[in-house]
Amino acid sequence: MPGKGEVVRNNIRRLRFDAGEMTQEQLGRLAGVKRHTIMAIEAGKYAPSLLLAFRIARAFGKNLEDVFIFDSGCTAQI
Amino acid sequence: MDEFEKRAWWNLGVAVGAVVAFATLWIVTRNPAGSMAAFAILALSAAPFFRLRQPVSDERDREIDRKSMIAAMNLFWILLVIGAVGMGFALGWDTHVQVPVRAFSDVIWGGWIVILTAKSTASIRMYRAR
Repeated sequence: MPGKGEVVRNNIRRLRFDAGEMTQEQLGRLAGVKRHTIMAIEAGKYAPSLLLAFRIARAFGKNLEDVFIFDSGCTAQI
Repeated sequence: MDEFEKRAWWNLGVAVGAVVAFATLWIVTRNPAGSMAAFAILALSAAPFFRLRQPVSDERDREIDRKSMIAAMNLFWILLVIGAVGMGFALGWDTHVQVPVRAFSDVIWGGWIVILTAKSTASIRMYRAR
């Protein structure tokens, strides 16, 4: 579970678009979850397990960090 | 709407329906023992399990189920402790009272209603979280 100020963002909507307007249903089938779960992940309402995150990344043929972006909520000071 | 969210709404409806039916029967018949027949409505909470085609759950459903059960059990536990301790303080720890057998049934049904209501409310809240 993300801590205070920590957010896990994702590029699923854009990646689905790039993959020929792949539907949430199709992505769900590839990742082994329901469309509602893909909807919740895409909207940032649900943080998937590591296993599911890998499955989603694999469905797009991408690395995990190309799909999910960890935002710690604080800007790095140089 | 997700199948498991529908199931949560169903359970909430069953719990509220049982309470409303119990209150209505009590007011109309003035018979507390007879009014307990209303708790038979709670049996409807088992209805979704008799469907031939059960909905498939995924990790989000299982997590919501686990979290909502924990929330329901926490609430039940708090009410149980408050009830047990509160009764002792209110009536006196050595006081002897006579209670009808239905009082025990009422407590069991009441506990089930609390768990059913809390679990379904928590599930609905998590499914609809923005």
